[in-house]
Amino acid sequence: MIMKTFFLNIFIFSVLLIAPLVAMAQGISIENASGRLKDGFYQVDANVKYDLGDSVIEALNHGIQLRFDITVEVKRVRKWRWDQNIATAILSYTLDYLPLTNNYQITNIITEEKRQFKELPESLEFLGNIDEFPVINENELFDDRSYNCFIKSELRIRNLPLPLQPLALISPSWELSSSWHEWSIR
Amino acid sequence: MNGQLDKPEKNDKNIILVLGIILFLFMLASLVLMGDALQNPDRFGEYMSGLLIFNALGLLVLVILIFANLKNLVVQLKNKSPGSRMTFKTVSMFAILSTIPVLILYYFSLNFLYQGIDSWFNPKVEQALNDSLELSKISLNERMKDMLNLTEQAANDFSLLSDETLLVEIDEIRSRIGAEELTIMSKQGNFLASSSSLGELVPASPNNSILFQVQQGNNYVGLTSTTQSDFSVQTVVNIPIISIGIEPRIVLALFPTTERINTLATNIQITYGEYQELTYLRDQLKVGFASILTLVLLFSIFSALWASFYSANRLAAPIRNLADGTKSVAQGDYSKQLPVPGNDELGFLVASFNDMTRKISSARDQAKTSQLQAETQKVYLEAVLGRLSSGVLVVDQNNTIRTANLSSNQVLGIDISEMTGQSLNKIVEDYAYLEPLLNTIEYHNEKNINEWREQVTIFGTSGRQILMSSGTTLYMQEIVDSKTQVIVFDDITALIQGQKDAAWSEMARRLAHEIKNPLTPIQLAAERLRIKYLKKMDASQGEAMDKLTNTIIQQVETMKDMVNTFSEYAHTPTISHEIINLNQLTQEVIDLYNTLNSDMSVTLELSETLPYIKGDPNRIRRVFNNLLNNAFEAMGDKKLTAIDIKTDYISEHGMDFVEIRIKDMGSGISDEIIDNIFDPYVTTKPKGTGLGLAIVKKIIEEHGGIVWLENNPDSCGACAIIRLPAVMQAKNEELKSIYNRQVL
Repeated sequence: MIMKTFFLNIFIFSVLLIAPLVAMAQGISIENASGRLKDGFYQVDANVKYDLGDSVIEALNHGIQLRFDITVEVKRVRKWRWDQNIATAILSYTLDYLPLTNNYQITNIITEEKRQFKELPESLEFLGNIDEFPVINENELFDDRSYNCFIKSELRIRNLPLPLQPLALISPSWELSSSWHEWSIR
Repeated sequence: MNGQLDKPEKNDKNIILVLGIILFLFMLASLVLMGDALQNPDRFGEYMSGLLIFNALGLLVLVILIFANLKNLVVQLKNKSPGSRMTFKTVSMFAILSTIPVLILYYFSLNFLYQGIDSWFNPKVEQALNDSLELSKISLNERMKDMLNLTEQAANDFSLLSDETLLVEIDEIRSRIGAEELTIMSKQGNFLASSSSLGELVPASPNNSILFQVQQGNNYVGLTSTTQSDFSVQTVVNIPIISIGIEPRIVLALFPTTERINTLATNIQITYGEYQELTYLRDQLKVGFASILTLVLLFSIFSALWASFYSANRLAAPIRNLADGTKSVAQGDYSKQLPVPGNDELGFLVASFNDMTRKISSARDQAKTSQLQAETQKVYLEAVLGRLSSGVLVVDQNNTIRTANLSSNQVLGIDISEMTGQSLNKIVEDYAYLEPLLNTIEYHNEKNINEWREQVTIFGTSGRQILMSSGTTLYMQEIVDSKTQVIVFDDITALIQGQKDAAWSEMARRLAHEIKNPLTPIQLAAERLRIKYLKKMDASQGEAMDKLTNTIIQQVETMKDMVNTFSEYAHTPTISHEIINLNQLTQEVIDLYNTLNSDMSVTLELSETLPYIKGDPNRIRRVFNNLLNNAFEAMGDKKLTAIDIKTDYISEHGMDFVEIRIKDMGSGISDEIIDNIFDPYVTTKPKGTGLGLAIVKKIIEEHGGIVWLENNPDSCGACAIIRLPAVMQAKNEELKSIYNRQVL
């Protein structure tokens, strides 16, 4: 038994080390994102598609709370230097499964607004719809400069329960993070 | 080469050690960090992947190091390199000693870990939680059913009301059914009327799925959370249509739960959720802890293995060096100096080895120097001995020849210097003529006579030799009871002969002088007597006078001849040195004799390759005359006189000479006089002067040759043998054309 565990661990280590190289089926992707100036703010609308994968859904259904951070950054484009980050806004949600009601509950961390859904896809769809998320004051954007806006969404591993974190850190099935989606503000 | 370890190699080993220690410390630190990260992810959680990869790479480096060492060890074992077996044993011992306890620890740790984690979970607790959750659900369901009934009743009430009267009645109905919020909507989702006890301006709207469900004609009841309560009952009911033309409507009601129910349900949900979470994380926990533990195990084992290789190599290095050193010493390289590993026993051993090789090297150098000195002395002595005209022999107590110089070869006529190590008896067996000398040496050796001097006569290849020998005994201090005898001998034959010849010459000269002077007056007196008194005497007296005076005159003539012969012997004329073809000269002499005496038979056997000699032809002819006369006279009145003459080319002991053998068939020479036959006045003939052979010997010796007589071993008669030094090789063709073997 011990030897079996020993070799199993070695196997797991080997697999985990090479696993990130393997293409991932599930994940988070930004389907579209755009922004506009409204009410004195540059507000972002985006559609994010969440495909959590079986392992993550299983964990969710077993009471593991998932936290998603949607990060939006605005960077001033500079010619000869790195672009300057002038604003970062993070929209954070938690996704829970409520065993008593069999509902999925989405909580906005900042507003503490809660929404419950009977089905997971319904909750993920709600999570994926970002409407008019204010990112930066209009005054901070100058007409004679170019700006790029970036958005990404990721599962925050550090908010997972402690024992799950090592596995989540190295397992590709827990590597839920979209790539940066970029568009030009002006 | 001083045999020291190269500095770069030592530095490389130190670098490997330092790198190994650094790797060890880094891996240890990363394992500590990993353990900490597992306990407190906020601090190092984000570095977990990096730490894990670093540890894995560290392990890989350790594995590579171990395999490299293992490969080296296998190669060393195959080559049977010194110290390889010791390294193998040490590494094996280290590996076993380190691996087994760690594995045991790993086994029990993992068991305790698994058991500890499993002990957190109790099936009864789980069942109780499930039951309580189920109970809560049932309780809530009962309440929800009631709420649904109340909402349906309200819906019936609303069905009787028009849209305009709804606003008036809705508050009253909400209060009646006890709802927190009551909303009337069209089926398309448009708000028609709303009443709330919470003071919310915007009523809660149903989800699309609920709306869809209701639009299908099914009523909905469910739990939802509000800002006030986690568990509010939400109902959505279709309002019955009682008259045509009225738009289909739905009523939404939000019922509160009691504070008690809300708290209990929340607690149950939280506790159940946590338990579910723990159950789910049980395997993750096990894998996580087991992974760290396995990493620690692998790290410990690999580190111990590598350390064991390193230690074993360091332990074996002095042994290996010692083995190399002893091999070098066995091959004769004493300059090998080994690096001293430290102040321990091995260091003492290596230092002793270095000391030993230094001493051996020094001793060898001294021995070499001594040997060189001895050889130089030996060469010096050999040079001195070689230049000595005297023969020198060194004989040990067993009568074995140890040393003989070159002159001894010349004196004895054999290569006695090549016979060192041979016993005197063995040499006597091979060279019988050396018996008198060697017997004398043996005699004095056996009698332990320390100093002796004796004259010994031998009959060697060059005839009779008189050797003046003297011996002395040397006691070798280095060898106990060992003594050697040094014998120095000189060939004094020529000296004695020379003295003898000089004496004879002086005597002959004086005799001639003393005799020749009175002979002439005697002869003159006799002639005067004859002239003066012969005529005066009567016939008988005259006859007597004539006879007597004639006798006196004849004898005086004879005496004059004898005196002349003596003078000739005593006189040493100047010898002309011409190149002589001895075969031709022999032929001429024989031709003359042949003319004078036709009765004699001379057999000539002339060598076709006879070299020339240098000498005086007239004096050589005299030699032939004397020897042939002797030969003829020795055969006396025998009717048939046969003489064999043979010339030959002889090469002995590096000397080339011409040999002439004149063999007669006479009576031979008696043993009494054979030794002195060449001395003056020694003759067997009644009328001989005894100077013929003496003159022969004198002439031959004047030409650097040697002559001796020996009786024929296989027939009667004697043989005169002359040897003269050869100066050049005669042309074969010329000799062939003139001198062929012939019988005269």
